[in-house]
Amino acid sequence: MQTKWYILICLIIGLAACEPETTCHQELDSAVQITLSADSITSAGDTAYYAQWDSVTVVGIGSDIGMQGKGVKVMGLELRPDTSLTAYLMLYHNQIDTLYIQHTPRQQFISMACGCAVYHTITAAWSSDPRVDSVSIINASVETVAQDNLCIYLHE
Amino acid sequence: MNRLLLIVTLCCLALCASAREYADTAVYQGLSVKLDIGNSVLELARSAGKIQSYEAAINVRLAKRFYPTLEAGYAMAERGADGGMHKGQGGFGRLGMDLAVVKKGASENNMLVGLRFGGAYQNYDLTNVKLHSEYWGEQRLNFYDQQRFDCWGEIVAGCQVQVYKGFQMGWYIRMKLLFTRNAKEGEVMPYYIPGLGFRKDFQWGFNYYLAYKF
Repeated sequence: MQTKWYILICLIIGLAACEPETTCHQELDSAVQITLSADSITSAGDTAYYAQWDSVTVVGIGSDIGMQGKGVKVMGLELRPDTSLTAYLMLYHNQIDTLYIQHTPRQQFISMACGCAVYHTITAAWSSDPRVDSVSIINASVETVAQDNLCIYLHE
Repeated sequence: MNRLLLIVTLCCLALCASAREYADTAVYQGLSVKLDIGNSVLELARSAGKIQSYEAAINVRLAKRFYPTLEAGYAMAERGADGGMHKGQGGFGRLGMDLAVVKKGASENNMLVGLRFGGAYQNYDLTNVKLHSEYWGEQRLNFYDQQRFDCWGEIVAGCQVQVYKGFQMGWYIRMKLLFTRNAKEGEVMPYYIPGLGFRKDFQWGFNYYLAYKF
C-alpha cells in the first residue's frame, strides 16, 4: 500500500515540473560577423594579404554606445531589431567609414521568460568609404550561431 | 403436448445460451462517455484560475480489449511572465486507441495503454513581449489576433474501473510530444496550447475522469 502512495507522490512532483520556466537559459544574441580583406603591395613589390583591423572604433547610428578593439579579425555587430536598415560608423586606419546593412528582421517568440529572439536575413550591404572596393555577403542568415556573414574588401 | 412444451423450452434455453455467448464475443461491447475532472482541477489550481481546460471523451469497447477513443475539449489561458502576457482560447481534439493490457475477460475493470494524435486550434494575443537586443536596448512587442494550429502525439497509460452499475472512473497519465515546433515567417508561436499545456517539445499530462457506459 505504501508503494502506491510513493508512486502517487512521484506523479504529483512530476506534474509540478510541467510548469513553464521563469528564467531564460537560451542563447538569444545574434550578430552579423564581419571580416576584412585587403591586398597590400609590400616595398619589395610582393602582394601581402592581411585580414584584420589593427585598431577599430564602432558606433551604431542611433546608439551612443561605442565599441573599440585592437587586432580584430572578426567583428560581431548587432543589427537593429525594429528596422530593416542598420548603419555603423567605423573608424579604422585613421578614416571614418559608414557601413550600411539592409536586412529583414524576423522575431521568433521563445518563451515568456526569454521573450523574442531576433534573426535577420541580409539583403544588401555597402560602404560610404572610397577605400572599400566592395562589401560581399558570404552568408545572408544572421542567427545565434556565429558564422561569417560579410566581408569588406579594401582597395590598397 | 408435454413433449412439445419440452422441445420449445429446450429451444428457448438454447437461444438464450447462444445469445449470451454472442454478447461475450460480439465486436461492439458498449460505449462510454467520459468527463474529465482531474486535468480541469489541476489546471485551475496550478494557475490560480488563470487557465481553464475542460474536456470530455467517448470510447467504444471492441472485441473485449480495444477502445477507439475520441476526446474533445476547450481551454482558455491568461498567463504572464516577465511582463509579457499570453491570452488565448481554443478547442482541441484527440483521436486514438487504447488497449486493455491485463484483463481480457468480460470485466469492465482494466489497465489501459494507448496512443493519441492531438490537434488544437486557437486564437491568442501575446502582449508586452520582451525583444532581446543587448546593443540596441530592450523593446516590448505586441502580437494581436494570432491564430495557429498545433498537433502532437501522446502515449497514454491508465485504468478504468466500474464503480456502480454503468458508472465508471479512471485516470490517464499522458506523455506528449509536440510535432509543430516551428513558426512560419511572421508567425509567433503561442505560450500555451489547449490540450497540450505550456508549449514544450515534451510534456506530461494527467486526467481523472468519471464515465458512464451505455
